Amino acid sequence: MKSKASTPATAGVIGLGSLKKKPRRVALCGNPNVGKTSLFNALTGMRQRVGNYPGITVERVVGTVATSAGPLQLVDLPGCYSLAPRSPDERVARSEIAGEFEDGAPDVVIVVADSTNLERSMVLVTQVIDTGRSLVVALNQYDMALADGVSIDVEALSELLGVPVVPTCGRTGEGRAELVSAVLAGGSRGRSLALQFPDVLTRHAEQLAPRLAGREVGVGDGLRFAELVLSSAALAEDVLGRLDAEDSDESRSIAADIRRARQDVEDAGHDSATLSTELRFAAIDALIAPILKRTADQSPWQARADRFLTHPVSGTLAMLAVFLLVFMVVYSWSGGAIDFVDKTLTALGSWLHGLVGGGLLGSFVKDGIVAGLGAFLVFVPQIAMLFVLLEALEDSGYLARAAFLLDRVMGLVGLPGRSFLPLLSGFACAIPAIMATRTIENRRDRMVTMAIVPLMSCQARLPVYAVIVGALFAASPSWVPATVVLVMYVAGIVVAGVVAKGLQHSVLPGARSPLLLELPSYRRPSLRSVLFNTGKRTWSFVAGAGPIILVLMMVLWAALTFPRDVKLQRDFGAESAQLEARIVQSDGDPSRVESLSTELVELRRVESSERLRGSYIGQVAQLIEPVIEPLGFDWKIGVSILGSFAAREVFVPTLGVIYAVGDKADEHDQGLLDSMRDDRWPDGRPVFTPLSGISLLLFYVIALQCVSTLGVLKRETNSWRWPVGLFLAYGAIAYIASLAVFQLGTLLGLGAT
Amino acid sequence: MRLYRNKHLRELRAVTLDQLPVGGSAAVTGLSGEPLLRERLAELGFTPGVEVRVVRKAPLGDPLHVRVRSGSFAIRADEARCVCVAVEAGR
Repeated sequence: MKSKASTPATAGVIGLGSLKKKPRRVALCGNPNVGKTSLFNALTGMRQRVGNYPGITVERVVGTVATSAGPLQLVDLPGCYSLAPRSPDERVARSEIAGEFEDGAPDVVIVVADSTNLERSMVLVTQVIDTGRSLVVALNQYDMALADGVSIDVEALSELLGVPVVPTCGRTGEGRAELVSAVLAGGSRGRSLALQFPDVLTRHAEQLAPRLAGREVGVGDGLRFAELVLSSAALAEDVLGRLDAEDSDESRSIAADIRRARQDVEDAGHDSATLSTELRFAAIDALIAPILKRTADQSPWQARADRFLTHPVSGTLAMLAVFLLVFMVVYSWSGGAIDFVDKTLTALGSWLHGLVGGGLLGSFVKDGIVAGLGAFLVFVPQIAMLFVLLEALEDSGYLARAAFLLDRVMGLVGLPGRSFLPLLSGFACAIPAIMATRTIENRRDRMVTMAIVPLMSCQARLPVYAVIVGALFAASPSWVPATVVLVMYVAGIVVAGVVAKGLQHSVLPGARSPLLLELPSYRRPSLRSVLFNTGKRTWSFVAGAGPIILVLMMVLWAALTFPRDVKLQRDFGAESAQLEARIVQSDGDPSRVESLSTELVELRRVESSERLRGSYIGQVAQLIEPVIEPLGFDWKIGVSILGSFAAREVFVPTLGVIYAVGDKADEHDQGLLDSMRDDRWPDGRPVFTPLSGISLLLFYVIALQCVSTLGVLKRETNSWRWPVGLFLAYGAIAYIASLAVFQLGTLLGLGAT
Repeated sequence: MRLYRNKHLRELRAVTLDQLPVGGSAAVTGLSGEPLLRERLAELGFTPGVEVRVVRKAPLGDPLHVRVRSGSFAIRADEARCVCVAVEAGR
């Protein structure tokens, strides 16, 4: 068998130089869950850059490996089971190996194989051999295989494949030096497996091969490539798509021939979708049978762990405990770190404010730049802490089990089990939650999950709920405000379910993607990998979403601050100068100084209130008052809503400024609550009634009022389409929902109370 | 170890993977469904002759935890229906 396998299928490959040059560019590819990223981290250390492939959401991670022969550029390809591409991830992996991106083809491909699951890994290994690239096989998780009672004759494997094979352990970094020297030696092209294709297929492939050669439809345009096109569904689809795109007489004729040949193969009784994979597995089984010894299918403790962790009762309880821990970390335990960031920035703001003095510049520095920095830096502790847990859970193999347990429940809204944890995190904060959707492999499922995360009532909405409920239901029995808040949480979830279904029927159509989720072996997470990946994620947020958030915050600052020449009803400048003079004159008398200072603070509050009324946002709010009045909102609420687009946290302080009780007001401030209760429409009706309150609450549940969420959506989807579309859509849904509640309530006579 | 002997074929009953009881195992005989799904199932190791075992069903009976070629996969009943298997009659 092996002796027949020596015919290289790479004869037709052009451009793979016969002169072996020193390798510069190396690609790292492998199945999901083989510890590829651990190995990447072990090889490159901190020298990594994260970017995006143009126009798609797939990330491109490039690192540098320092070697004795100078630096190597190492590209970490997305995990893939096969080079016959189905998902954007797999397409990227294939295109990188084919050299279709601007950097060109890799000089050497490292294929990471899983020692504990060699036969499945060999599919990708032998496919890469078929492309004609030089490769090195890293036999990863070699230590685990030994522990599981698997023994592999590495030398024999290397001999059979015709490529260097290096046992490695990404977690500890063992085998790193040997792997690097094998790469520096240039790897080897290896021997393609002999696949026993039926005669009808080989006949067609022989005619097809020369016509495909040089058409840039794939890697390794030789006989093997033609054979694969006729015996793989995904590869055929990819190649036919490329030929269709070429749209010439020649390409149309080739495409027709491919379709006809595949039909002939089918007619001869073969499955042209699975034939190459089946033959490949048969060849692999025969190849590795003599060199692989396995004492048991699975080590006993792996099986025991699964019996406990995927059990309907014990597994569900364990999952609840794990998720509670994750939620607590994001919801409350990150509080200390957040406070620290907050306090540091506030101190920085005050210090800079003191440095540049008051006035416009001071306000710009303090409320524009520093507040803008705060608007994204404040999320860093939450993101970092969530990702430490998430990476550890993913690396340990547990997250896949949780997804298994939750798949059916999430299926109610057409989402996979993987969507649960990001949505749960959304109740703490949408920013880390949206980033956590990375654990969802399927693009469509990930998009839908990202889209509905902002509907989970995050922590920032709590002060809004508290101030409105506090102002309006203070006299009601205590269960009433609690129920109102609970209903708001439920309302968010219900709208999320509807939106998810709606998206699946409109923008992201198609049936629920099939679930073929690997439940990888349990293993101890690699601390280094967890910390590296967390660092990478956190940095990609700071560098990718940070600038967007900063700019949006400055725009908002400007809208709240300008124009400066507001027509004020009083001459605040003169009055405050007068008060200051009187404070100086009253030297010594503490009671007089105090009362005058209070008067001065009061005066400044009234001035800020009037300035806010005259600002662009104030003007817009007054302009749109007729539009929001049917929801039960006056222009003052309008200002707070518009201000809240910076972040919902701003709602309460903005109300504080408008009602001239100061921007330090919190949701328990009696002065603020009293002012809200006493506020009246021009015709004497109270502005805040339980009905208008509920209408306002509902608006806050639905509307996407968070610049940071928009920034992170832009970063994660690599386009403005999603953030802008969701912003408009949720604004519209919020408006309609509040309108319906307020108008129906008024009709039913609930408005006046 | 994995290959079912042909001589047994007469005693085998053809069912699909989703019909196997928890703990039951059987040999794959073929795949049905969309071409892309068939190919993906094959790539994960569901190829003719290979033994598969249903380790567990998730709460509410779906998805299935399946063991194939010393790997574990979660696979929904909808997809499991596309994996044809043969069990010994009377099992």
